[in-house]
Amino acid sequence: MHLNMTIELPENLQEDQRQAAMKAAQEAAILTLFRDGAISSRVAAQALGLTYHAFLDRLAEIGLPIVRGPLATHALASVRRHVSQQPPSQG
Amino acid sequence: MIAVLDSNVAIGLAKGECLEHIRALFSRVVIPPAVRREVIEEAHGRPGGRELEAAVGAWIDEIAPAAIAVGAAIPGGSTEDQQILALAAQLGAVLLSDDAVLRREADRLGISALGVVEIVPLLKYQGTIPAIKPVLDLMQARAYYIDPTVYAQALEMAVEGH
Repeated sequence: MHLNMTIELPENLQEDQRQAAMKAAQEAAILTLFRDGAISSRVAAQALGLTYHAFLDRLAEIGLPIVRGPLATHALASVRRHVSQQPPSQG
Repeated sequence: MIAVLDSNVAIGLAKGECLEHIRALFSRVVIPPAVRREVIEEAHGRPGGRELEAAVGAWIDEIAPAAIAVGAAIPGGSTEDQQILALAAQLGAVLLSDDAVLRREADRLGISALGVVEIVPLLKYQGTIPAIKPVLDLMQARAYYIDPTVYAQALEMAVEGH
């Protein structure tokens, strides 16, 4: 999935300033899509050119949760019933 | 009960120092090659790499790509996401993932999905750990960030309060 994004920046910026703004805009766009559930964490990491570990670190750094809920209460109840039928763990 | 382990939960549980405990919950835990690559080969010393490497072959099975049925494309997902979900469907397994897109798609397909805020309370319920709060706090301290509302709900569910 590759989409191009065009942003308007003030004139007379230095090249490093322009590059930093472009990078920040790209990250904001990708993280917004991730936050809204439009793309998976794996797609977001790949789009940002980050390893999966680095992507999780980046999410924590900016306060964007990887664990967002809602709690899967039905699935939990189903697995819990199964676990209750197993012998106790030996650790 | 078989479980398919996604990279995020593998890393999260390793950060909470309880990855190995899930072997007591499931009869078999499997990963596709993408999870091995993301968690082990790209770890560069981060939590999860060493733990998963020790587990693969010991109590976690890696399924070869040729043995994984080709699943349907997932809106907003990658081919690796597709592979993980296809593997869960193929094995009739529980999906262990915190990824919202994968969980939504699993729900649509009738596949049970659990993330760390469901797995850690299960470990407490089973008697493997005494409390969930220290584990979730350790995960968060190590950059596995949990939504505060979900964190509170998990503590409430485990009857631990704040």
